[in-house]
Amino acid sequence: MAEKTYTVRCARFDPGREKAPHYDSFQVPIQEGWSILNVLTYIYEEMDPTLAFYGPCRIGKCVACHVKVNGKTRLACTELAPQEDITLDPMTPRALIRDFVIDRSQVDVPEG
Amino acid sequence: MPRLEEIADQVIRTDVLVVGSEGTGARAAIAAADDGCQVLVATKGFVGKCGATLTADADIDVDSGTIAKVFALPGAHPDDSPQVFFEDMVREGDWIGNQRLVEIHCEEAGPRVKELVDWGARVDKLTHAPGHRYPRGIWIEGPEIARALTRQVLARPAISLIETTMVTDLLIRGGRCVGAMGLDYRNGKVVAFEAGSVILCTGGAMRMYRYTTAPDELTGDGMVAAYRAGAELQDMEFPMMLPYVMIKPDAVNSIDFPYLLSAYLDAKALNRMGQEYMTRWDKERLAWTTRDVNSIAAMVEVLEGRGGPNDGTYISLKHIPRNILENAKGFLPESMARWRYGAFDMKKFLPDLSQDAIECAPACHFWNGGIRVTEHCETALPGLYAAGEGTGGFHGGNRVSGNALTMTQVWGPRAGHAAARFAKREGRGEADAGQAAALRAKIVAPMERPTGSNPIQIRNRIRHLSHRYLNAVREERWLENVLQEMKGLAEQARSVHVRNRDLKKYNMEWVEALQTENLLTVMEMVARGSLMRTESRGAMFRRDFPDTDGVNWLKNIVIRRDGDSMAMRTEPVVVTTLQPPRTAYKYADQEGAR
Repeated sequence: MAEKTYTVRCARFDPGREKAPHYDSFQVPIQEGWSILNVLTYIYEEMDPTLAFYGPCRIGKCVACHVKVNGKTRLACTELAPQEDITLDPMTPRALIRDFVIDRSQVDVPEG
Repeated sequence: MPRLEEIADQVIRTDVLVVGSEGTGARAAIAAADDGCQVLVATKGFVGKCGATLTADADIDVDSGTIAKVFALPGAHPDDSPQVFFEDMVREGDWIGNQRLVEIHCEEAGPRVKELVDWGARVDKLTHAPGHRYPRGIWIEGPEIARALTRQVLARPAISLIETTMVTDLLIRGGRCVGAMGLDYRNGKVVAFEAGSVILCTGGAMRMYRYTTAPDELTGDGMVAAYRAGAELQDMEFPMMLPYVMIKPDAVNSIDFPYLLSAYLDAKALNRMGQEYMTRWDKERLAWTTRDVNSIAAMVEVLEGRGGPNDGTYISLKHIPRNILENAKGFLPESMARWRYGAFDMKKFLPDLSQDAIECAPACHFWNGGIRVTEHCETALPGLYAAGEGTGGFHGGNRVSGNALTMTQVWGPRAGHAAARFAKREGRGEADAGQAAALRAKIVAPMERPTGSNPIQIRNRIRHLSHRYLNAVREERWLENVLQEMKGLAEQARSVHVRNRDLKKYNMEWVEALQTENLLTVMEMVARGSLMRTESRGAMFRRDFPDTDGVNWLKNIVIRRDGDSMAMRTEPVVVTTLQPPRTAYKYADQEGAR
């Protein structure tokens, strides 16, 4: 039997290369007890390796994996994914590197 | 030959290059800057938001006597001393730690951790973990440490930082390390660093395992870059497993909350028949024995068919009356008492512990081995220094709780000072353009191959094999099989490619592609080291050699590159004052070992 899937709409944007964000939809077999980070990881590993997100610690300590889940800002790692269709947006359009990655730098990168 | 500027997209020159920005790297950078050097820190994530320091649980060991004198924390025991701490560390390291390094570690822990506290890292309380005779764990949450150190780094104008940059290889000229090359994956730029000296503070390779408490960055990059550059590594057969992390649900996979419960409360470890299997391993301490023995025991249950539905064993608190559990809140670390783990509310993910047990698995938690260093953090390559988790010789075959963070605070500064001395004496190095061009080609190769193998699939296979066959329990036939299969994986890794080759900016698959060879190289070191060590010791149990062999194996296995092959030799353990047992005895038989 085919696994039950849900539509995950992901905002995609590469500032500098694209004029405006757009949405890509993925059919994801969201399991009970998955976090939003599990959903993003599934899409990256199984469907689209170009998806960009940041969140190395996976336990809410780096506090750098925020995404908007149906419009509400949440930590991707600790937010449980509902077993329903969802829309994901970056936390803020400002300082966006790509897709869900926000520039978290506290420093100026040295020039050559 | 072209200039370096024509080879790399960006060239940065500095006195001391520090690779890694957190517990160890920040301390190394601070020390080198305070010695008057220009310092550049290159880090794989964002500063203060990456690396293993942040995720520490997080006790920092200092001997209890010093804690009583210097930190005035309740519960400290004045009878403890750096000497007693040294003895515990050598014994729990199963006698193959370098005693000279351990002496320095225990002496300098107090003053270095005091500096961290003076910099504003907030102390929660003092804890007493297994393997320590006295309470030595000064509890400071990982994010507190990261914040305090980041403030110190940013306050020093002599320190510059480059983030989202994976250092892939070291530049060598005239037998000396003169810098490094890497990828700034944020924008897809190849970066060349020229430096007077380089310090690797990049941590272990825990991400080669299916279950791990470590964050994404820990893929052995520094250890393998050092290996390729000719430095020596040791004790690579001893990745440390933490028993009892969550398996399900996926959101909390690898979280070690059940282990923490078992460290503070009298948890029972049970197999699928409900048997308390630790009675076969440590009758007195049961699940309160050291983490290595717990992991081995759990893995033996699983491999012999007595595991649960998810190939785990169980942690149960059902026998503890509710009012005792309630009262425990008074002595549990604050976050645990509120059932918090990181930002998780664990109540949502745990069963009712008065009725049910938690199915758990051992996860890779720490890297005991690593780059072989002197007491000044020198490697076999002049100009190359290393400190922290990616170095070997301190914990021997097993690390006691709380000593990973102590390691960052003691050895980061030692490396920083030594590398600063070298850089001042020798001046800045100059890269060999031919080598730099070759390293650039290697970095961009996965983006230039139109077809090839998939780095995500290779990584998942690595994690599967490591979990089953390079876990706490090993056996010759499994190790031979792993090495055999690895030949195929290595072949695939040579043609690893990135599917969207136009995407230079923040291409996660590109970073994965560059990590593949590192994971495979470390895996081979673990497998070969385990095969060579025909005994059971510390974090490694050989089912086919179940005794600890103090007659033949008071030795460290040292690995260095010899052309394309891994040259392995043994060196006798460095002993200063504490004589190890030079007999053979049953593994984990603490009486036999003493």
